[in-house]
Amino acid sequence: MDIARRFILGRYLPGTSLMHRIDGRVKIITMVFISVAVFMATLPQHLLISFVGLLIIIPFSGMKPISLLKGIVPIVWIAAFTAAVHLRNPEMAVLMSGRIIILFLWATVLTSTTEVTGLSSAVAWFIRPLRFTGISPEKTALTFSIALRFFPFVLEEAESIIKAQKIRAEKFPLKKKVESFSIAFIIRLLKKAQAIDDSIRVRRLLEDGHFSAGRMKKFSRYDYVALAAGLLLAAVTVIL
Amino acid sequence: MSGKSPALIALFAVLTAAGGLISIPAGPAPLTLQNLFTILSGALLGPVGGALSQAAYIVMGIAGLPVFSGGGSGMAHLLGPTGGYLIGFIAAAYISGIFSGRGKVLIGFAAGVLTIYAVGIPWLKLWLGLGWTEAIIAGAAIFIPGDIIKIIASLGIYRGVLASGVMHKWR
Repeated sequence: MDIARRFILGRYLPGTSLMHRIDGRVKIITMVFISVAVFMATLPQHLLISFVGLLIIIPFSGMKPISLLKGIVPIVWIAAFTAAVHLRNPEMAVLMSGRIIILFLWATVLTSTTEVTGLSSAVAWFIRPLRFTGISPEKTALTFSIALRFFPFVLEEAESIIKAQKIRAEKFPLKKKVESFSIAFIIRLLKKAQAIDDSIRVRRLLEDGHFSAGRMKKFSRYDYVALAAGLLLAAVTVIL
Repeated sequence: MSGKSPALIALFAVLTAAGGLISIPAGPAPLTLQNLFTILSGALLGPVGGALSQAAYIVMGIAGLPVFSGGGSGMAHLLGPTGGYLIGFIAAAYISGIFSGRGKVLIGFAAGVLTIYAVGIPWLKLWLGLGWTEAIIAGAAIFIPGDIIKIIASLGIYRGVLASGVMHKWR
């Protein structure tokens, strides 16, 4: 799989499960409420409620346990550090590191079952009320789509400059090499951005952003049920 | 080219993401090149353009792209222990842009880096239940030597870009 495709897919695991069909906006709202609930938990037992909720939804996500475990790899270090800091109080150590692990497990399920375009459109939909501040959801979505295409270019550009430097076999000191690489790298990318900007202006894409926030579909009954279940779970975690 | 152009904002969002690809664990928060691009975004795009580029970077991460440090993604990174640093990126780019617009680029870079800590450390303290001293040591002190090098490098890149004529000083 090429870099661009791998990047655009992000952490998304294609599928047709119930979780895959739930609207990105519902997943974002649920995630925010669960994060708040997990943060407000004062005893490790409270986290169990959220964990049980997670165990219930996993079969509906079509995810394998290995995919879930991959989701928490980046935070193993932070969780271990947190537990070590609170070693004198084991209950606190479990609560603090457990919070982080539960949060990441939830986020992995929600993110892995939603396409990048679905989540970016959902984010654009949420920022619609900010239109009065001058932030345009359509422009935000457009910026997002340009960024997706920019990422592989940034990596290729870095590679080509490094290759060029090797071919010329520059015998400058390391500091000078790094400096000349960084400046050449940024200047080339700025020129590319300028070219994209000109092309956008010509094609008047600003009026026809691909990820239009206005094109979001209506909530289905699954979405309403998922939203209610997520909020209920968050409420139970906080109240009990 | 305007600092608010979608292509420039997207570019700095991607550069910030690329800066996180190489991530060295150094306590609860990792050591990355991200803040170099954060402060540069403010200086080159202006406060609004810079802040928007960092917001775009965060949106990319929320949407599931593996752009957070060490290839991480998802809302948990934003809402979790190191989320304060990410929010701090937006404020840092803005502050860096304000100072750079007044010709105080170096002060702007230093203020930008401090802004990231000003938001990141209290957030980290709250999440991990640390004392202030522990939070400052784990969340900032070990990064300071690297930050000084990054500020100097940012200044070199900033001057190089302006000298090339691709971009003009933001005012």
